[in-house]
Amino acid sequence: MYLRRLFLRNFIKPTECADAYPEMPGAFKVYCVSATEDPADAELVELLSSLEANERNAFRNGMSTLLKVANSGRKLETHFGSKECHEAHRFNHAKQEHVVWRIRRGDLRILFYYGANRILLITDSFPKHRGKLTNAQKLKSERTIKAFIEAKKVEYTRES
Amino acid sequence: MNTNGAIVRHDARENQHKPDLVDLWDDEGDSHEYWLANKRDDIAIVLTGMLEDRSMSFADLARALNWKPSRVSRALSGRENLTVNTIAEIVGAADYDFDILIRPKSARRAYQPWEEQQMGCELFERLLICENLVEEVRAMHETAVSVVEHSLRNRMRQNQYVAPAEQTDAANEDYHDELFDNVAA
Repeated sequence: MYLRRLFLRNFIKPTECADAYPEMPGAFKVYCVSATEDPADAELVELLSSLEANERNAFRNGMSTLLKVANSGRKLETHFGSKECHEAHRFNHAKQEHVVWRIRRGDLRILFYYGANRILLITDSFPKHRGKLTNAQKLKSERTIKAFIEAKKVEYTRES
Repeated sequence: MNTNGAIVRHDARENQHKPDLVDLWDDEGDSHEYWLANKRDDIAIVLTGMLEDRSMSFADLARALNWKPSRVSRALSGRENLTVNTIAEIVGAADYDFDILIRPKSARRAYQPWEEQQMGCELFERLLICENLVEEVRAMHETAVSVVEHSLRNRMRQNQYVAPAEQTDAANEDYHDELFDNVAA
């Protein structure tokens, strides 16, 4: 499994300065899954490539907010509020209960997991989904989280 | 890119450039409106950070201001163009006050009081680590000095110690004696 680190600079406009929003001590490091060590093969890139331009920009705005909050070291639910950010699914693995969280804001739908060492792992993302998660969506996130927990050595994509 | 604006990913075998995040954004749009939307979002992030610092939930804020929970959610969503009055009410409910701080565009944004505390704790921890390291280095230096002094004293007792300046002359003398002996032989 490869993980791609996501940075604020990947999502803000060129006219803005990512350095204006530095990572605070205890910042969450946001990752998504990638098929290979090429950062362009990240699942999130594949999803965004399939969206229309306006959906893509809305997604970008949401990710920009998410990364600013993550950089501050705060958990996402402290900013997005319980209506927009809440537990979506719980499951047991390795004698522990694990929680999949969902952010639902506008066109942005992201499932994520709080891993060890302040890692925030995006396990799935999809546009404009309403209602409860499907079983397939739950299982996908479970598989990703289990692979992440059990990985003896996590590999990272090249710097993009 | 297809007619809907979606990016078409090419097969790697065709040796085409695979789009990455930087290629996906449409920066032709209204940057000014985007910048304003960003500012609204930033204010919301500061306000929710303030609430967290005070351990106040959105519900606590709603009670303090006698607002409906939906009004609080809207105000802190980052999508509303908050008035100064609204910001003042929210900040006041958390027992804070606020000013406006202007900065150059490329400069880092100002830290809020809870962030300064965060940074302060981090710096304090690093200072403790540095102090511990300094102590360790000092102890190592004292040990090293002690070992060298002990060794020198031993050698001097055994008359084997020659001062560095004299050592070269003594070494040269030995060398010449050996040469003479070899030549004589």
